[in-house]
Amino acid sequence: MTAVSLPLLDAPAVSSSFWHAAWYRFKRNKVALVSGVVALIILIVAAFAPLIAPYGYAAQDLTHTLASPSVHHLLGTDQLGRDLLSRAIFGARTSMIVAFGAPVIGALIGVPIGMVSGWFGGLADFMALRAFEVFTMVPQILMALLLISLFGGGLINLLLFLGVTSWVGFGRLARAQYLALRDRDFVKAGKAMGVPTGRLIFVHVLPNAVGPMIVYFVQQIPATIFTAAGFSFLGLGVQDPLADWGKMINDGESYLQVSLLVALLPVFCIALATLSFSFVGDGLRDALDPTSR
Amino acid sequence: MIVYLVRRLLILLLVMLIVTMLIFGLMHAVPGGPFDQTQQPLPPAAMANIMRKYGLNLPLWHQYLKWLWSLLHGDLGVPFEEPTMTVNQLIRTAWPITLIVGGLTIAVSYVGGLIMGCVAALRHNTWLDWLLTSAVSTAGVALPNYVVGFLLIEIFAVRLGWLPTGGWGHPQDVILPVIAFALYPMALMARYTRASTLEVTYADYVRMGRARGLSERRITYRYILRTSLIPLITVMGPNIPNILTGSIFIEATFALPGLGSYFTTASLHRDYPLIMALVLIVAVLWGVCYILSDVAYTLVDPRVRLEGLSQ
Repeated sequence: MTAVSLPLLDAPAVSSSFWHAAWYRFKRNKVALVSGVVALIILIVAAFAPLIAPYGYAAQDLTHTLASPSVHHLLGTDQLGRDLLSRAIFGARTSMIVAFGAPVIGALIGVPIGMVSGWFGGLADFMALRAFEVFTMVPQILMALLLISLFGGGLINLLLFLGVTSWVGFGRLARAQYLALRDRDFVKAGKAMGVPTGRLIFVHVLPNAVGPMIVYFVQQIPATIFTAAGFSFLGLGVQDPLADWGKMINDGESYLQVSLLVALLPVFCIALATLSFSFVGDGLRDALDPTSR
Repeated sequence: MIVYLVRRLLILLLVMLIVTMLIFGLMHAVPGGPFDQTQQPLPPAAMANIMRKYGLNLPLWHQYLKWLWSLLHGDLGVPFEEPTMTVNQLIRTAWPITLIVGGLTIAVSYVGGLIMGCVAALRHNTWLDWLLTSAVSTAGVALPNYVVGFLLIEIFAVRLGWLPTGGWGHPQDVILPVIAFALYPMALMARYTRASTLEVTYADYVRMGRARGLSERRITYRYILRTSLIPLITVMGPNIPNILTGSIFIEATFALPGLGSYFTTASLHRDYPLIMALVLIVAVLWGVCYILSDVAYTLVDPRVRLEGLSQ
């Protein structure tokens, strides 16, 4: 929280829209901007992994296991002779799939529930609040662990379970937004003019409520990278031969004495990804919602 | 206040009932069971015997009621994986380990975070503030604790050989897990402390105090810090149950035989009684901590009134 530093200069008068102003504020935040570039690079690497990586994620070079960095293997190889650089690059892919996919699932479940409960109130709100209570009682990681142990691990299951268990935050947030917005004058005016409820909810209120949701979404990304890699680290997430940073730590842990890179490279990747995405999240929060500082 | 507490506790009980029912139902709804062995399948007769012994042949509602009934008598059942012990005994051996690590973590992180946050805020916009907020607290919030733990092991246990790599039994086993575990709450605490202290630092009544010639020390301790620490209760309250029930990642990294690692093995083996017991502990702790933090909030801040307890 870079809270209450210098009061930001107001966005220039020419920038007419909210998003222009937000982009202007985000640009002024150098840390967020640099992190944004790093995050973007990670995403590009993840998207084009097969084109960038020198080898496949499962390609073995059994004559060079646990090799040190060389011309053939820029960062060396692991205990099965797989190119570490390539595995780290493909690891970005699995990591990003879960890191973006899980919050999307969470938002798809949570936001509608929050919308309905915040907008309509009454019984719907009561039910939603009790559901929030029930699901906060069992922390996300434990719930996900339970689901994984029942249905098995793997990339797809990890994505699904981390997604399903992350809905509560989105639900609470959407509820708070809709609760705060539904009594605003522009909504009353819309009602008075006979705008249908569905149109009010999606066209009039949603654009006003979406800012904090985007911020929360981006803040969920580093948290999900953390949890997903953690499960793979425990051997419960992504399975061989797929590459994943958490799994690479797990693999490399036993070979620390022989080769440092096998375990430190994935550690570095996880740290880089969580750091850059959380700086972007902080920057977005400050840019989209200047009052929250 | 009494009425409020009773109401909150009743709601908590209701929620607990729903939570346990959900988890119970979920565990049994999935095909397969704790005694399915693909390697050496048991003969059907022996299987039926085992199912009868643990009451797994009964209808689900009956099993749940049986579990609830023995819970009311303080009996959490027998774990499938270690039939020589009861769940109660297992928890009695595992939880103290988690509690020691957790308690130390809370102490280290809250005290450390408070001091860091206050120092950063009182030295606002100096290099010290920059170092504490940007470097320490952001890294603490963003770096996964098992990654930190891993690095700590690599440096202090493998390279320098000063501390053990993991396990439990010696006093020095505590050090690395606590550092790795405390980093996140400490960073969080520092962030919030800094923010709330800064907010108060520029408040009108503080400027007023200064204008009237109060000593800087008096302003800092009586006027700034006293008010700035209030919001921290709600921020940090919900973190306590998390820490006291342990982290599955930290306990796996450092090979600690605590609650978290039991939860991992229990879920992998579908050890129903153990899973239910652990879920129960976590959920009760969460519920109680929420109530306590709400109550504590009203005690320190007279401006806040509990919902449904207005004048």
